[in-house]
Amino acid sequence: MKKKLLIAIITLTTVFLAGCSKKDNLTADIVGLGGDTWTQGPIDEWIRTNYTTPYNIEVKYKWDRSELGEIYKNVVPVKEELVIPIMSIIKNTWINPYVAVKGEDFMKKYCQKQFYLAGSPSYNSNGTITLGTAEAGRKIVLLDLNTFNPANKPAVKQILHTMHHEFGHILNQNIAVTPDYQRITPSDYTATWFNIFRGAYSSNAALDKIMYEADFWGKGYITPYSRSNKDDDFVETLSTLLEGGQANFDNIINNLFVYDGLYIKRNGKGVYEQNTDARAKLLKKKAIVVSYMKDSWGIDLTDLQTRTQAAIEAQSPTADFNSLLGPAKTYGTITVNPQKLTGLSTKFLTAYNSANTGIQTGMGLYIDNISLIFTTANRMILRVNFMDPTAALSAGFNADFNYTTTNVNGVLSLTYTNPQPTNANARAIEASIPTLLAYFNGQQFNVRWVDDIVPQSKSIFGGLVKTTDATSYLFGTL
Amino acid sequence: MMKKHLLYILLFTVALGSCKKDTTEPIIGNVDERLSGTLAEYQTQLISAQFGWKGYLLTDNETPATFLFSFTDKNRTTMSADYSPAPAESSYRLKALQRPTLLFDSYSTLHLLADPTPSVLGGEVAGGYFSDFEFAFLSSSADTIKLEGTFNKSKLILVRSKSAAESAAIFTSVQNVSAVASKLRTYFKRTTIGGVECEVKLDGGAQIISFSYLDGANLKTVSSNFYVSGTTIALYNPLIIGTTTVTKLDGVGFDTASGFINASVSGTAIQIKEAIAPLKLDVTAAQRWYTQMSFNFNGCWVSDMAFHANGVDDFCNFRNVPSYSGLWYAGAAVFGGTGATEGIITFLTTNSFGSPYALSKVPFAVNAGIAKFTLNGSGGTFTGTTAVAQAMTAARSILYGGATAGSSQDWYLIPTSDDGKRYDMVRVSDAQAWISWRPR
Repeated sequence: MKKKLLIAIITLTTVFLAGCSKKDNLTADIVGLGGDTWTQGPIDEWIRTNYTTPYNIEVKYKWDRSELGEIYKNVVPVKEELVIPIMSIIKNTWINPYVAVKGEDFMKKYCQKQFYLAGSPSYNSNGTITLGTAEAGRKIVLLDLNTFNPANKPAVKQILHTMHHEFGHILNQNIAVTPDYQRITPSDYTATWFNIFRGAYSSNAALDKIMYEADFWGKGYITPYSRSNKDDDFVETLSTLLEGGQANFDNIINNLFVYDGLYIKRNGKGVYEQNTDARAKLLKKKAIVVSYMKDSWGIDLTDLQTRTQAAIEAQSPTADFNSLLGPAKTYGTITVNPQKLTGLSTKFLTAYNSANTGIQTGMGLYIDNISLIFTTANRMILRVNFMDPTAALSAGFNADFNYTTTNVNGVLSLTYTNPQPTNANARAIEASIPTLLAYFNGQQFNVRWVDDIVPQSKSIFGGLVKTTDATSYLFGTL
Repeated sequence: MMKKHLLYILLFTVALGSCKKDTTEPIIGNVDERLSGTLAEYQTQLISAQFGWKGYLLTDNETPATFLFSFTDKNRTTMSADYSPAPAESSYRLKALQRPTLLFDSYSTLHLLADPTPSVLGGEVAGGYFSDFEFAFLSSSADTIKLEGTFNKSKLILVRSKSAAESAAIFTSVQNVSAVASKLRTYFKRTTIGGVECEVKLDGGAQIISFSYLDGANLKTVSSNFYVSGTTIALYNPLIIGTTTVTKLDGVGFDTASGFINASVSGTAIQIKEAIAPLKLDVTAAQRWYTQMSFNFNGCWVSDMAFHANGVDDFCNFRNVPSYSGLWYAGAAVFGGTGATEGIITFLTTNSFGSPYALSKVPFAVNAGIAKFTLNGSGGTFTGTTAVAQAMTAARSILYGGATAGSSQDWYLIPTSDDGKRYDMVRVSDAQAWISWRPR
């Protein structure tokens, strides 16, 4: 009986199991599974060689509306001929510097995994346009690329700023920066940071610029966007240091003063009142960024900055300063204000300060700044801007002194023009500033960039260096 | 014991019954296979056109454009357009979105219309011309594929080109049809479709055709954008005239012997003939036109093209006038006075007026809906040889029917926009001269 039961159970189980073995077709070829396919071309080949194979990064340049954050906007795809130029710039100026400092594996591990490129901006209902978005360290959408010109340095820098900004978020999300950072400027973060733009403050352009800059630099933020929140503040500081370079950052710091309307507040001898609060805040932020990169990632920021700047310069080289200076050229004037510059040569400063002392003791005036004007052929005008401390703050007075020049391949020879043109201001102070006038008279200078003196300062400072004495030079803003 | 047997029987029934396999296969095949098959078929069809495809696009803001496409099996397409005739290569792809979709997936001539940045090709900020570059297949036959933009709902119709000559002629076909239409010298053109007499108006520039017919006592106007393929005027939207549905006019051509335009609608021959009077005159239009003038900016009406007469656009040669901007019919705001002076004068792009000018007799006269312009006097030198003097002499002669004070001419005013701010003015005597007015 028991045996029968056993057989019955076995039979039953067999029938149950065999009878219930349904087979589903699991090999169906589902349309679209595995992504889009098309006949591969040279662009696809390039992307594979330069991005996908080495770094596992996908670069999508063919249209796919679903990749856009806002799929309901009118946006158009990127022009095919721009894909390789744009992506090679990004590789050279973002990936390569990091690889050089930290090695391939670092980038393979942490870099964003997807790029999506589109041709037009995404227009927002408030009249602004979106130029790019990033999603959680995974994907970067770059918009408005069809107007991109690889030779246009500001455009290159803008894309690069975005890259370093987003990658900064990734670094910060993997290893958080010390909370000390957000305690530097705790009270000025604002959701309406986008209201900080030129033209928002005054119909007077000069005043508008001062008030605009005071609204972020003057509060200790490196860009308007960095006022958005602590995380964007941190990565904006990092990306500005990398994309803008050291000279750019220092120049921002050196121009932070306290203003009274259109003019910088000063004492009776013309010494400016510095915005020490903002200077200290920005320098502290920079110090935290530098130590964060060093301690958390073992990256020497200066090294990375130097390599990034060199890559940008290699990508779109800056022409020789001498070829850009002169009548109807890119630059016409070098403005030298020792209170806004660091790194001027002692020999020039001795001549300048002695002239300033001379005009103070002799006439009760002081020199605010000087400028070298090259807008007339074969001439340099030394414009001494001086002020009367007893009068209200104003633009001051200009005294123009002419030098006759010859320029042979960037070697500028200066001779004090005789006779000088009629200029009452110049005649009035001429006798008080002999050292300054003599610094230029009968001298030869090399007209050149001074990036060997102030690193990464091309296009920010241009200068004159004495041919006979490399330790005697001056430079100024352009 | 009986209970146990019953239990076994029940168990077996349940066991066997529950394991019944459903072996039915979908009779139309696997859905993914069908979809891939459809995409492959469309691709093959696109590639197969030896002379390419003629593309007719109507964007969502009713901007028409004509293209010539050719497709390769390497996901590449070469296209030229009426607004950019140089052939340019870009990529395309067929993809299964919600419907099988043709994607022009890299920037091309086609994308210029969709570009949201007006500095590229014009159009509106953030929208361009509201065009598309992702098109879903609506229907296809061997020689015609109808597509619809998935984003802005533009219409794209692809028609297989039958010969190199046909491809070469594609960008002139609209002009050819406009030229045929202009063989009829009169402003009014009549035909009879399905027993209903109607007025036909063909605007080659905007590619709009309209038919007006009497629905009871009211004039009813229906219109549609069209494209031209060879000698066929094809409508994007079918129009219903009486009980006849018009989707296209085939074989449009001018018959020199009869002086009619021949065409056919759904196989039925029609003739389009000259007519010198409107089917139904809007009798209050002339007074409305005159009243509107004082509400217009600068109290004037502006005509860009001035007079069309005897089959010639810009009959008076205003295009030869240096810095010509427009011909104005203006009142006191231009001529001074308190409204007692009005007439025609040339406006220049230098923001000044040309000399001479002609003044009408006031008050403005309307009889039975027909406006009468009477010459009252002239200012400046009409006898000169300058381009402006010659153009104004011709314009004065058309508007007033003569050059001497007291000459007069009758004109119909035909409203051409719903807001009452655009009118065509047609000469009553023969309907062979007209002018279009707009506010400044």
